[in-house]
Amino acid sequence: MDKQIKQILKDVYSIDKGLKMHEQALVKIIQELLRSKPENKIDENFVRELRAKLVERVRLLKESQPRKNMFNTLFNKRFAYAFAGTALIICAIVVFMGLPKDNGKISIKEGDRFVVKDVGENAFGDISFSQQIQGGEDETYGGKGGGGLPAEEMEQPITMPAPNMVNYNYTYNGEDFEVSGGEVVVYQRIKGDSISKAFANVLGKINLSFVDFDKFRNTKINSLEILEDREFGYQIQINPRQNIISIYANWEKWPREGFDAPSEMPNDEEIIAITDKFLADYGISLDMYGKGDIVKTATFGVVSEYVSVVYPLKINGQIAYDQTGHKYGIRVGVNLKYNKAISVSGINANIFESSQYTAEADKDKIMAFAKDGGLSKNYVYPNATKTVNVELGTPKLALIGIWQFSPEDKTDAKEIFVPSLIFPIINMPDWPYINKTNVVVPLVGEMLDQQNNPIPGPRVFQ
Amino acid sequence: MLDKRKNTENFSQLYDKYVNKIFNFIYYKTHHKETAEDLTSETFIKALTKISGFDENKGAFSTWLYQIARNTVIDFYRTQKNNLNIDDVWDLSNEEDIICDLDTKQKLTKVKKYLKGLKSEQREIVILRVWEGMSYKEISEAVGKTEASCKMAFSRTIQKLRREMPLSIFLALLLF
Repeated sequence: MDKQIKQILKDVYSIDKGLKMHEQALVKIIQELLRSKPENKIDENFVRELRAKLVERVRLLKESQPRKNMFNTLFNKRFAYAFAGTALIICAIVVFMGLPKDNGKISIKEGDRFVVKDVGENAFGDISFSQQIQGGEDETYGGKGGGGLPAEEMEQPITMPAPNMVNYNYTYNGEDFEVSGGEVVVYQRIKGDSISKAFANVLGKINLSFVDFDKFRNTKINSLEILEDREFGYQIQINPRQNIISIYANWEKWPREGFDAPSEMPNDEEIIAITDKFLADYGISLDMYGKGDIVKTATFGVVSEYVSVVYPLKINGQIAYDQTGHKYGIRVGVNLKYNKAISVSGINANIFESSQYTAEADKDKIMAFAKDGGLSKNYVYPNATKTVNVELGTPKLALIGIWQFSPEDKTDAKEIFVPSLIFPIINMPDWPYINKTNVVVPLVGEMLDQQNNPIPGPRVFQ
Repeated sequence: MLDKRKNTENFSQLYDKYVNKIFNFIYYKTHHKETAEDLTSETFIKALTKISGFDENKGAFSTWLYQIARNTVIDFYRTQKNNLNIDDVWDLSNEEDIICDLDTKQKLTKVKKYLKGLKSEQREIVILRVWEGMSYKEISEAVGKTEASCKMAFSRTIQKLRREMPLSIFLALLLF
């Protein structure tokens, strides 16, 4: 008998000797429990990243409460090297992400922690697509609020030459699953204007001899751009109205040479190490994000100079995906010629409201929506020259980020996160190329109503 | 181990000591790797920010840390499901746990029903003893009870399983 089982039985008998007469049954129970033990092994990368995250947290705590918190020096001696490179230029970002006041910086509370406030049922109004402006000719295929999502395969308009009018026939080839109906929780990102006002406040303190900014009243900063004036420097674009920060290469300071694919390209781990280091060096917090993941793109055999890493946003522990079913969050582009980060998008203040909406309980309706192509429907050509069979696999439940544009104000968009099913396409056809790898179906009932989801017109080159 | 005044570097050692255990503890309550990672992060971040409120005279650090982990899991499920009666994945119906890891789901097929039928604390003790191989001293710290009561609870739970697990499982096992 196994030593562990023997010890367990010994302990049990010490409580109740009478159980010994059932030893055979007890052994079988313990054996069955041991056999059922899940194979869960902690990911070493996760352990490392969490440690780095805690180090960063300690650094922030240290700055905010220099004498009160026992973790002021926590990790510092052991891991201080990991944070040696924090650069001054990003103080604007650090301000944005929320830093304390007592070290001379401005504190903006909203960005410094993950906040979700429950605001009751249907609090975001009608979130069906009927309430949105329809996309114009240059907008995302399928309209419906797709703009702004940084996706390598953002649903592009079908721009097939006229002779190749392709219809897609979606069939489900996954495991059986059930939908439970009830309610689902929808999240909406809150914008607020405190960050915008804080920047204006800082500007007001600057004393120029020819204009006094302090005289302007109730000011807000609409946009702000900061340039790093150094070799391989960056430009930082801040949109305080939307609480968004983006970083790009300051092209004036980067060499402009052609790209010859090196004989040995960095592997995924090396690329992620580059982006991890960049984010850590610039103090960009990953507290609310998952670990970095290489964005897979269709390369068509061409070696690209760039590759992207996405750190998915997590809302209440759930990873967010974009409308194409790919992870959605902070996205870092890497230039493979120089092995340097070249862009960062998706840095955002993570303040959300949550609200309950009625979930779709009719599985047939969900499947019908999926077979129409999901959120990015396909036009059905009456005289198609080809029909491609597309097989969908077992869906997974996920939060999908959807941008919705106001019918009244086209510049005003809200970002909601809706529980949805992501059906993977399991037989990607080589040709004709299909511009998606997943089909996404929101689980909020009103979003599936056919009248709210007009099938888009065809886009054909003349 | 946690002397606020003279040794503030211990958290790195504590992190190394407990990160595996806390991850496993949470995994057994979520059956989903990414969720477990996320809640493990949350647990340690909470521990870090609340450490000034920890009083070692009131209990062991591990008891305090496991309690944070337990509450984090409870908060996660209750917020997600809007249901105050859900403590962890074991309280979900089979239809609701579709985000569980497939391997785990399959491995648990035979015993899930019986483990689900246990009280949360009984299940925790059985899992920590059998799957984690923890001593009763460690278990007592994790669940905040005495060693004796943990032993007693384990013994009673095993008896309950003996009464409830069907003969078919035992017969099947006899064939191995």
